[in-house]
Amino acid sequence: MESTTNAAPMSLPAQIVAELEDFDSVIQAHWPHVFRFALVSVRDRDTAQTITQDCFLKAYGARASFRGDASVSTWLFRITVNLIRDHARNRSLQFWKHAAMFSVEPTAVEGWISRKEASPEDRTLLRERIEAVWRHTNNLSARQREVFLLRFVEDLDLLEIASITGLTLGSVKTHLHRAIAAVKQRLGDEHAPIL
Amino acid sequence: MHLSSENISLLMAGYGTPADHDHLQSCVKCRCEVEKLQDVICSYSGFAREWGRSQVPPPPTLTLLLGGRRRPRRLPRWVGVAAAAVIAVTVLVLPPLEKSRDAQPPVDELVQDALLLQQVNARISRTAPLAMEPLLIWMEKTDSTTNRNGEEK
Repeated sequence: MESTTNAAPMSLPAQIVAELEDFDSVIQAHWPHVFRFALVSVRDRDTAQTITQDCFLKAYGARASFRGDASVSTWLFRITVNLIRDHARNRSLQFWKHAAMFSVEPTAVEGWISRKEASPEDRTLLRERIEAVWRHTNNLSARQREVFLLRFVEDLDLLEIASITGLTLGSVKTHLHRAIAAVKQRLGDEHAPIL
Repeated sequence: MHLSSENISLLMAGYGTPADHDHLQSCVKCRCEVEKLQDVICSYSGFAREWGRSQVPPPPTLTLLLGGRRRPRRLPRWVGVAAAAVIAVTVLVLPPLEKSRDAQPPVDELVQDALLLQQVNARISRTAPLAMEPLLIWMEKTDSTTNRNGEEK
């Protein structure tokens, strides 16, 4: 592995410098989160893997210019968000791919539900809820979906989301509210018993 | 006075104000709404997290990442050539064909063409060479004025 000691700026906090020096550890520690976020965003395993690889390659290439104004995790998510935005722009031409990414694997939902202790009725309701939210998050605008997934799948706080997406805290709140309201309304329209 | 939709969304996201939380304690309707919504989103979050985690491939080492970077899948070269050929045919051949199909010649031109065709037909269906034409005309005239035995009519 290449040494990054000379490349890292001296002004960075020592902890971040140390973290970036061992880039293999950075990959091991953050790969699962970056991949998962890419996967729930693009819903295509191959694309998610390409985005994740590109994210770490970009980060490795730009580690010397990393200012250390955020954590390494936030920085990696910022790169991932930009790559996903680029992918969405390119994907608009690949209309045949849209149908494939819209549906969740039913066996995956069943597998997850089967581990829950619940009655058959509750399981059915749970499956319907998950599938409906999964479907409706796809109809959100790109910004709303980014904020929604970062908050509810990656469990990041709003300030971190603002830093990742480049939005103000107020915009993050607005996008999150609109995303929740849209999902809620669509769930209400489609499945009266759910909400 | 109930909580606004925005306040409910922020409560859902874990960012309610103390006043919102106080309101929830006293308002069953708002509490139910927040709880139901929270339940739905939590189910989705739980599934998405676990499903996403189960799909994660093993992280590569840096050396592997730098050396074996997956290239984006490209279409074979013949697809590009075929597409270019189709475009060329569409642009170069189809418009002139379309034009010739659409264009109707004027009536004068049609009449002249018909006359020309008649003349051509007459020439090519001639039984004797052009040089013998006067002789044929004379013979026709003679035929019309004399009978078979050479006697004048």
